Amino acid sequence: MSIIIITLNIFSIFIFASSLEKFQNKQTDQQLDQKAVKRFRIISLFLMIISFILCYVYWQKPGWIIGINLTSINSLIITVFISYFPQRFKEWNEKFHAIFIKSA
Amino acid sequence: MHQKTLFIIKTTHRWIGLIGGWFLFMIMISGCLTLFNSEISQWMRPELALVKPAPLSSTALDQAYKVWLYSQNMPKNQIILPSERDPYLYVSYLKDNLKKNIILDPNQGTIIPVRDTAGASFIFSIHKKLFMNPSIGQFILLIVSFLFIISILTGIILHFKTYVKMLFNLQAKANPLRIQLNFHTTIGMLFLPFLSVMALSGFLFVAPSYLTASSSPAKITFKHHANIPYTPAHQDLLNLVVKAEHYFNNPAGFIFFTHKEIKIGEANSSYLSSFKNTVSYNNVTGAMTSHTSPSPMFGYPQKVIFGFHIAKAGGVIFRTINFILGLGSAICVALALLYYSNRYKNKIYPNKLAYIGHKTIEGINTGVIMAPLIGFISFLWINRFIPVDSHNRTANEIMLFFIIGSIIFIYGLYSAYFNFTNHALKKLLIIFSYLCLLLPVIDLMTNFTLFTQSLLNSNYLYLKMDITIFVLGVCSLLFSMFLKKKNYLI
Repeated sequence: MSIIIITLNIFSIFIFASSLEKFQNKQTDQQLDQKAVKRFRIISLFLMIISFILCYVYWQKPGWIIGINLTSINSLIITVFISYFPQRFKEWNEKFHAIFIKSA
Repeated sequence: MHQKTLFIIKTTHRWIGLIGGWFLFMIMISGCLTLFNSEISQWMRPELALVKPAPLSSTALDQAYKVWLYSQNMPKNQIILPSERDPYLYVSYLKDNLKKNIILDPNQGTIIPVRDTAGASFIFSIHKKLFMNPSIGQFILLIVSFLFIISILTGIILHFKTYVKMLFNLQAKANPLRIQLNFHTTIGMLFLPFLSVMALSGFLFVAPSYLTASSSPAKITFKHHANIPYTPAHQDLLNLVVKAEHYFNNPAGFIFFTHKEIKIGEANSSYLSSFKNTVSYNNVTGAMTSHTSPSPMFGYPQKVIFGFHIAKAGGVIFRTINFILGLGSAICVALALLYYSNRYKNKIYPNKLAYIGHKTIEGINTGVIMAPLIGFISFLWINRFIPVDSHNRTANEIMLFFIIGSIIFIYGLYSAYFNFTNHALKKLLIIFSYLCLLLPVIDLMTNFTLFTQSLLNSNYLYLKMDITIFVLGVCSLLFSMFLKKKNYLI
């Protein structure tokens, strides 16, 4: 369960980051329109809420605090990852956008 | 914002952060270690590996009670009941600023012969009162926590706008000084919920003893029972423990005695707010006389943040997360100190006094970062190297810790006066890494029989601790190599 929660949390932060204008791939025609950005943020929020609910269910009373703390740590991990491996992030971001745009 | 206001906030953040940071780094590192105080204490007494954890018996409690009789005139004396995390029975009391323990087999009631060690209570004492007289140490902590709160507030005002702009971006290709600042800002902002609660709860932990008169009515004190005329307990303690557990609907954690009552405390690891809940029984009749849930100042919210501070609930995952956040916060403070040192490094000073002043600050910054790190890991090394039956073992452990810490601190100052602080930092970080990497090896070499016995008893604590220290060493070594490669310490 811990792994599922951490994965969901990281994934939600990743999607939130990829919805930010500065990380959208401006070199290709995959740049997101406002609707797509909104959808990305909703998915990100949805995943974040699920991870928080799971935290609360799995760790009971301090679950929501664990959720907040976990989000802090995961955000730092994502920040370091994006800053030091921008190419890898760009690749993943492009793939993710492509999947999302195709499915939409 | 008005330029003058901004300047005042910036100056406040810089100077308050600098002076507070000297203490905060040590407090944060010792706080991180205190989260695993029980595990560290057990690791520092490897003889415990020979005892197989067993359920608590009435005989063992009676034995503990007899042992307690010898410590009844010591402050903070109590019987600590076994738990899942620490399966031994303790009779503990305070002596020479340290919590002393006599450890008993929870089933047989026999005293387990363990080495005399300061254990994690020394680390806790540093975190709680800087290993000083409580009135002085806690007063310093009160000021430091207040400075910490101000630093956080001024930091938010100063960095919030720039942080939002550079969200998820550390500008990895910028100059080292900028990266140091970016890391400091990013960690500070991302860990803001944790930092705020820790600063506030730290302040509230200490403040009541200075802000309120000694008239807090419902507060149960744990200073107590020194020199209280003692009436023997006529009750079966195990029976009372079972009654208390039934009352709490949770395990009992500790027992202490007053001249008329036997008080049993709750060990609730499900709620952050269950803080020092106790139930009292009459010493003679065994009837419940009172129960309490003390609310020293603000009641429930305060208990929640206190519970958060000590990671009371949530088990090992909450402690691990708080440990990572605490370590991150310590790195945030260290980066701020390094930023200060490096920023003014090549400045031309108007006079020699200003130059010496800056070099002293630079030296102190280097010293306060590396002394606790090397000091604490050396403390574990010392535990394995001082002979088990040596006289004054605890005092020697502490003395050696302070000697090593002082040497590192003086080396930090020396490196600043001779302009090689960053080289010294890299060197000390590598020494720290190797101390971490080699400690498990030394542990295996010196206590191989005890180590294998612990595995046979399905006690994996020693293995987990050794692996954790080794992983910490690997991370530290990789970090120092990364710094060297990127030339981040300018």
